[in-house]
Amino acid sequence: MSKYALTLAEDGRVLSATYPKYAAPDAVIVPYIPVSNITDYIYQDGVYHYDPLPKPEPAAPEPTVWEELDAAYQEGVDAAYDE
Amino acid sequence: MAIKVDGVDVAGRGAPGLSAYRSAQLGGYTGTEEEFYAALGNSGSAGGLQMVLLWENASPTSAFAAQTVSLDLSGYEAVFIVATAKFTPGDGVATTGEAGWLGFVGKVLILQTIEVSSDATYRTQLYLRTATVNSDGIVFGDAVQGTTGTFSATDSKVIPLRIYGMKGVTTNE
Repeated sequence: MSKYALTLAEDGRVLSATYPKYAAPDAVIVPYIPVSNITDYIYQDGVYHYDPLPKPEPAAPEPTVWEELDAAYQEGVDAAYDE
Repeated sequence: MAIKVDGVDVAGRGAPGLSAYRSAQLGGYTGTEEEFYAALGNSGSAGGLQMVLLWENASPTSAFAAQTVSLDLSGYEAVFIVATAKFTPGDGVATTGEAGWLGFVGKVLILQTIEVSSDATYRTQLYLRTATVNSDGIVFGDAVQGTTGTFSATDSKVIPLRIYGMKGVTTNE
């Protein structure tokens, strides 16, 4: 059976996993890792607890080139009008 | 090109047909052929570069937050970090691959990939992650993404996959 070595945050959140032969001497060795995103788990007392971090707000969509050109054109028209 | 073994010039350009070992013998080298190539490999000369796999990500599809990967790099001049990269050209079909960066111990390495947006504009998305290479490990920062405007943190890009230690790296600095 494969084994894994975990890098944990101070609160036990799993940050990454590697194989024991690459691990630091004080690494936590476990028999398995979750199949999904391992950073959604906190490892405490030999047990994984599912505790996903809140998802970040989705970024606003980037304007297309045409939208930027249109905005620049509009800005130019307004600037000329103000003068 | 001069051939140096243990810092000693043992041969210049070899005559046609002569091996490096034979040329070294003519230059005064008295060791065996095995000793010669072993010493050449440790001398930092061309062909002596060694890449040793020191770390492998066992969950490469997971996010990768800022963290320190502990490694004993005291015997290495540099590291080669391989991380995820993706190219999405205008047709929206993404090609997922790998990118790699060479970083010297004691320096800050910036891992950077770009992505062409899928809406067929010319804008590129930048993904950046810092990696401070110390003798006792690598401190990875959060990855950030953005274009020319505001950048935002992301843990799902530029995910380290493998770290190699590099021996025999010399520069002309």
